[in-house]
Formats: sequence, C-alpha cells, structure tokens
Amino acid sequence: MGKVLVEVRNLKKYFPVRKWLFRVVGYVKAVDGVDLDVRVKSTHGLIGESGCGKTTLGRTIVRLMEPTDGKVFFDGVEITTLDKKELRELRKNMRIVFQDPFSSLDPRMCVRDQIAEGIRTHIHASGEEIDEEVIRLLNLVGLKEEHMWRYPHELSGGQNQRVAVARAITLNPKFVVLDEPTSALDVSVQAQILELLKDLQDKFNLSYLFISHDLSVVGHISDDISVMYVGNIVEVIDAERIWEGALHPYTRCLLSAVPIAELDVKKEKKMELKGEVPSPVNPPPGCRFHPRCPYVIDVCKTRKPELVEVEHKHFVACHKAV
Amino acid sequence: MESGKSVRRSVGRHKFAEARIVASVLRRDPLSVGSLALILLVVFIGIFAPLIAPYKEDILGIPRPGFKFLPPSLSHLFGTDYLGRDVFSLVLMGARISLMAGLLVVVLSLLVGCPLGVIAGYFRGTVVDEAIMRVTDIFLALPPLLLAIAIAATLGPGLENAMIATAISWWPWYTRLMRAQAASLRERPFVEAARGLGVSELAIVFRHILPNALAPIIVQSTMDIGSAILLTSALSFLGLGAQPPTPEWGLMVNLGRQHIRNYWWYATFPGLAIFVTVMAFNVLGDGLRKALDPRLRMRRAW
Amino acid sequence: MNHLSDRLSVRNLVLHFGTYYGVVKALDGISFDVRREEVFGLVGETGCGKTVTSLTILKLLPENAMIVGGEVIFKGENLLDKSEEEMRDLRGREISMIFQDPSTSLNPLFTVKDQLVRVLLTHQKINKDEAYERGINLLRSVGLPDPERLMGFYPFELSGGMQQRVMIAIAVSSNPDLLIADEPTSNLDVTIQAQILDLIKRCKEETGASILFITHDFGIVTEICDRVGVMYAGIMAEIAPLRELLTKPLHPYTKGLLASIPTPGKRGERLHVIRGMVPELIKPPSGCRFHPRCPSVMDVCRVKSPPIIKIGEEHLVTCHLYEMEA
Repeated sequence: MGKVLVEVRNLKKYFPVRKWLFRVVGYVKAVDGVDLDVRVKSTHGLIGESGCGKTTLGRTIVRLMEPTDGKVFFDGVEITTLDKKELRELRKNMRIVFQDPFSSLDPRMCVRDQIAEGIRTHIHASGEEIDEEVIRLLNLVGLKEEHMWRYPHELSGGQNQRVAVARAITLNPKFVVLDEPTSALDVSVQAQILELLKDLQDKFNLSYLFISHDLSVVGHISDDISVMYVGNIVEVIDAERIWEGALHPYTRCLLSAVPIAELDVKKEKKMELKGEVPSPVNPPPGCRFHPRCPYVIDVCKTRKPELVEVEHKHFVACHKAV
Repeated sequence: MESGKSVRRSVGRHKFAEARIVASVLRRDPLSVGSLALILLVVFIGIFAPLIAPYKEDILGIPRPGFKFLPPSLSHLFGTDYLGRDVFSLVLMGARISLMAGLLVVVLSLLVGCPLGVIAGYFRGTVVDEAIMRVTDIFLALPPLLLAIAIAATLGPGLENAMIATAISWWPWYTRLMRAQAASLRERPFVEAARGLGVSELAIVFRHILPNALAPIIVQSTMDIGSAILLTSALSFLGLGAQPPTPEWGLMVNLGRQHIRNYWWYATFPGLAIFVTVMAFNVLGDGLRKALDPRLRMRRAW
Repeated sequence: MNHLSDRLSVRNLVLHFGTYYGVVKALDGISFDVRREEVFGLVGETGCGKTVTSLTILKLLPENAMIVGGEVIFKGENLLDKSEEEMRDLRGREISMIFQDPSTSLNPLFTVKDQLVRVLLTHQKINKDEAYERGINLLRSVGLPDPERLMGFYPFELSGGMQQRVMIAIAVSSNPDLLIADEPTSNLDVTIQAQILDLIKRCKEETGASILFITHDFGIVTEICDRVGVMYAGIMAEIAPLRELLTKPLHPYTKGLLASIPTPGKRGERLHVIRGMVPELIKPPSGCRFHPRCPSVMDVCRVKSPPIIKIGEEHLVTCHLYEMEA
C-alpha cells in the first residue's frame, strides 16, 4: 500500500447563481464536501453520471478552478493556499488530460509546439534540445518523429490523445488527472490509450485520478474507485471487489445498469432506478439519494450519512449499509 | 536533426492544405473569380497608373483651357473635366488613392480594434472588459457615417483626416467581433489545457486566442476594404475628405454632380469606379465566407 | 438466402460520397437481413458505415451521396426504386427511426403535444381529439408519468431520458414494421440508458416490430440484440446470432475488437490492441479492407476481396481464412 500523494479533505466548490447580475440567489453545489486519497503509482478511479460533479472535482483539485472550501495536499504540502508563483511551480507536477482530443489541442499549433509549450513554460531550452525532447516523448506515446509537424486536424482522435498525453508528461509530473480520456474514442483506440497509460505509469511511477462515467473502463484500470453522486462521494472500494462487494444502493444500481460485453455475467437483478437526478442547486435533504433509493428508511430523509469504513479500505455513506 | 528539418519543409505543405481547399472552392465559383479578377485589375491599375494614364500630370490641377468638358472620345476615353483634364487619367490615378485609403483604414482599425477586443473578451466580466466595451459601445451607438463626418469636420478637410475619421468609426466593430471570438475561445479546452500547463494569462491571449480569433476577421476585413473605400469617398463627396485638385473618386462625383445634365461623364465614371470596386470586394467577401464554411465544402454536385 | 421471415433485406449495397477531397467509398457491398420480430444489431466503430446504412434504407442521404449498387428490399419491394413521395409515406408509418440525440431531433419550438399529434394525424385517419387521446396513451405506455401535463411541455423542459421516451413514442405511434434505432442511448446516463433499452425491448414485444439497432457499444449489443452484424470500414465482416458471435467469433476484426473491450472478467490482463488505424475511405486498402491490420493476413487478402462464407446454420463471415471450410 503506497504512500498517499494527493489528499483531498472536505473539498467544496460552489457556483453562485445570480439574478440581475449581482444578487446571488443560490448556489450550485457541484462539489459538496469530498474526501479523496490518491496513492503513489496507483490509479484512483472516480465514477459518476453526468452532473455529479466529478469533472468539477478534477479541475478543482488541480486548481484550474478555485475551491470554495476545503484543502488539497500534494506530497504533504497544502496547495489550496499557494500563491501564483508557487502554483506555477506546482503545475510541473500536476497535469491534466481532457476528454476531447481535438478541442484540447490548439488547432493552429503544430504538435511540436503544443508539446514544447509544456516545457518552455517552465524552463529555458534551446530549439534543438526541445526538438530532441519532443521526439523522445512522441516515441514514448507511440508516435513518430514525422508527427511533430502535423496539425490536430490531420491526426486521428487516438493520435491526438497521444499528443495530449505526451504534453501532460513533459517535465515528469507525479500526478495526472485524466478527465474522461477515452470517452470520445472508439473501443479499439481506447484499448490503445488505456494500455499506454498503464505502461507510462509503470515506467514513471505516475499517479492517476481517472474520471469517467464508464464503469467498465474504470473497473479495468483503477486500483481503487470512488463513486460520486450529486457532489458527494458515496462509496470508496477496491476495484477488484466492486463487482461483487459494492454496498451503496446507488453503486449497486449502477452496476446492475451497466451493459457488459460478456455473456452470463452474474449481474444483480436489474434494480429499477426511478426518477431523475436531483439538481445540485437544491439537493434533497438528508441522504441525497433517498428519493430514488429502493432501500430508503426514515432516517435517510433527514440525516446525511457519513463515509464510514465498513471493512478494510471500503467506505460507504449509507445508513442502511452500516 | 536533419531529418526533422527536411520533414518540416515537406510537411509544411500541410499548413496550406486548408488554404488550397479554399482556393479550389473559390476557383469554381464564377462570381468569386470574377470579383477577384476585378480587384486585381484595380490593384494593377493602382500600381501602374502613372504608366498607363495618358495624361498623368493632370492630377496637378493645371488647367487646360480649350479642352474643358469634352465628351468621351478616342483621345479622352472618359471625357474631360472643368479644367480640361482627362477624366480617364484622373480615374486611374484615383484608384491608388482609394485603394490606399481603404487598406490603411482597415489596417489601422485592425491594429487598434483587435488587441482591445481580444483583451476584453478574454477578461470578460472584469473591469477591463467593461471599460473597453463601454467605450466601444459609445462609438457603436453612432451611425458610422455621421461619426465620420463629425470627426472629419472637427479635424478639418483633407484626405488623411478623412482616413483617420473613418478608422475611428471603424475599429469598434472589430473590437466587438474579436471580443465575441475571444470570449468563446476562452472556454475552449485547449485554453484550459494551457492554463493547466502553467502558461501565463498574457501568453495565452497572444499565443492561443489571437491566432484563433483572427479567422472570421480575415473575411470581414476583406469586405471592409470595399466599405472603407466607400466611406472615404463619401466623406470626399461631402467635401470633408480629399480636396481639389486631388483625383479622388468621391470628390470627382461631387464636383461633377452639378454638371450631370450637360456633362454627364464627369460624375458618372468615377461613380462607376467606386461602384465596381466596392461591389467586387463585397462579392469576393461573400465567396470567401461560403468557401470557408466547412459544411458547404462537402457538397459537390455531380 | 431469403428467409420467408425477412422483413428487411439489404443486398450488396455500394455507396459513395462526392467530396472536394475525392470520392469516399463509404459502403462496399454490404448485405444483411432483419427478420420478423428480432433485434438485429449493427455494430462497428466510427466510420464503419453503420449510420450511413440506416440513412440509405430510409433514403435520407445528403446530396453528394451516390447509391452505386445494391438493393434494399422491404416487404418485397426495392426501396431504392421508390420515389421521394412514396418514401415519405413509408417513413414514420412503416419504418420509423429513433435518433441519437433527442434534443436535436425534437423541434425545440413545438410542444410535445404539437409534435406527437401532428405525427399521428399525418399517418392515421383520425381526428384531432382521437389523436390527442392516443398521444396520451402512447406517452403512458413509454413510461412517462403524468402525460397530460407533459403534453404541454417544450423539449428543453424535459430531461434527456424523457426526451428520448417521447421520441420513441412518436416512432412507434403508427405501429411500424421496422424500427431503426441509431445509437439511441449514447448521450444518456447509464441508469437512464438501462431504462430506455428495457423500453425498446418492450416495444418490440408489444408491437411485433423488427428493430435494427445501431451502436458502437458491445455491452448494449449483449443486452438487447438477437443477431449481430459487425461492420468495418464499409464492409460487413461477420453476421451471427449473439451468443455465437461472443463465444466463437470468426473474423479477425471481431476477435480483436472483443478482446479490446474492458470487462470485469479481464481485470488484471492487458487489453488486446488492434495494430494500425481505421483506413480512410477515399483510397481504401486493396483486397480485404482489414488486411493491413489483420494478424492472420495472407497473400490473397491483399489482392482479392473476400467472399461471404456461411459457416453452420446462421454464421456468415467475410474472410479468406474460411474459404476452405465452406
């Protein structure tokens, strides 16, 4: 069990809802008190459906968005209070890869310049040194020297995503947030990128926060998984055990709903999930899942459950499961 | 390293692949081809006017008594004016003036408007944005022609002043356009990615936002050259721009106005020149816009 | 091979597109059947031609498309021969389509009532009141609560799942014989997706329609399809009943594809990676379009397009590897 590299404690990110440009009438509580640990050389999966706040969480952890409350520790250092200069230094160690490879690259910059930006922003290097480094990185991600001078629209989605990964590993970061990195890719290309990410993790001791809505992918590549629902983490469990040992009703609903490309998978009887996802502006009182939960009891409607460790390294936020 | 360099040169072609597609689309559109040819003709005339014009000294305004108001003939294709000068030569020389005026106005407006717009758009919602946009709004609220007239009247007559006046009434449009572009580009993932890499805000604005925002401006400013020519001619027509004896088209239309019944050629030919030139720019701009639309490019009639 | 129970028969469909970059040879002679009351899955990755196939069936292709050859037999008639007017009569009544993004397929300017009632009135000889009643029943049958209130809503007031249910209601309103569903759940959350898939299954059972289900997700295929056709770069690589395809895939592409999907059973293993990239279709590879990436490529594959070979009762594969066994 490796050392913890990134610690997130009670992180909150609220977006004010404004009427008349100045009056704040409410808040979108996208992230509402999240705890998360990412260990060295491991992949922590973050799974949830649209609107649960996982994307916001990823961005807030790397301070692409400023947290409303809470703390994030990177290698023991509290990064939520760093100033601009220190934050810039930090960016060498914390990188992010986005979902859509085409739009996360500047359409008017060639591949070499895009990757070079990751280097030149932080250190001075000559043109040749940068060229050499770019070629080295391209080879690492499975591309060739000739791709250096291409433009994003001349490359496929998979190739572009490799460029984005190459850009992310410039200057040897320790932690990479991967925000749905394969959701926009075909299945066979997805396999290439997932295997590439695994290889890079082995080679460079990288830690990943892998955010996705696709349970099959997250289940495959992660070591641990956090399940997120409307701004909160409802369960944290080893990826190995999630298919059989999940306890939170929402997780189990997800598991029963996920279509698996395998026959005779021992799946739970389909759990009917009624209703719609609640709005993060006015989440239900008590447990946020209670209006849709098939196991709801009275206490769920009034008291919000805490994340409790029910077995070794398995946390659940549910009154019933505890 | 040699391999890298040689690959760069040969792959540089890819950079212009998009331009080549646009060019091939334009080639097939007769209107675009026609208007481009016309514009090139006007530019050619502008450059070589002193060599083509049969009576180029006429721009100096030396009267030629005895040649006044001659109708169009072989020796004077467009006739002569009140001083006896050859209108054909005047129109040819005037091409230089109009083209330069149009170009200068657009370039000036771009130089002022674009950076302001990009900065306003990128820092959307902040005081910087508000300040820039309020100033811009003031300028935009006034009809361009009136504004130009007011400024030109204040600065005094003269072609340079007319150009300045036009530019002043023009830049706000670019600012607004660039601001919209920058504001939408700001939300794009590659900007976020740059921020994630640690790139400074200013570097993001000028390295990422500006180049990407320029695309619609290219079309717009091409068409605008025509409109700028029109506006400066209008000012000259009103007496606020070029002064006699400058062979500016708008001025000539004005001077010829009172004689239109008897000596129609004096006002008509410069007027036609304005019309044809401005029209050509507009049609070309239209064609460019159609050619740049990626969806339209996919269709091809068999 | 003409089963009497075929509702739709596509034979040797060849489709090209004209673009400024050249001619895109989108479909290279694909054939498949959709039988009565079955769900036929058309699976493939981006650019394989599955969506274009569905558009060809309904003749909803863009201007630069050219049907170079083949036929689409529906109820004994070749749809490709029909006029636009005849097709318009067919669409929505005998063949319906459910699209991927419900928010763009429903007209944002009209309420649910307007759109649903209009469709009912177009295809059935009933008056407005009857259409309204039927509309209410349809909405209820697709699982929408409080249909009377919903009728007055605009599409943007509904969630993605509800929009898609409305789309399905519209699509099944006239009891079509064939329902084409093109990635109907790709934009929906997993839990909503499960509900919609159930709904589609129910529709098939209640109305006896055949469903042509187009998707890139093999998981969904496993959930809902009876038989499956795997497409690659404009060719039909393999057709088989679901179970047989998953347990005994024959085409190297199918095998590679199935091996590259992350499933719970594969945890801890490396995912298979099909080397190379999907070819562009302006200059597709010679011979078999998959040959540059095929781990079992032979000389003949580079030169000659493989024939369709029948293995056993129901399994068709387009591959030279099986020419001996035929």
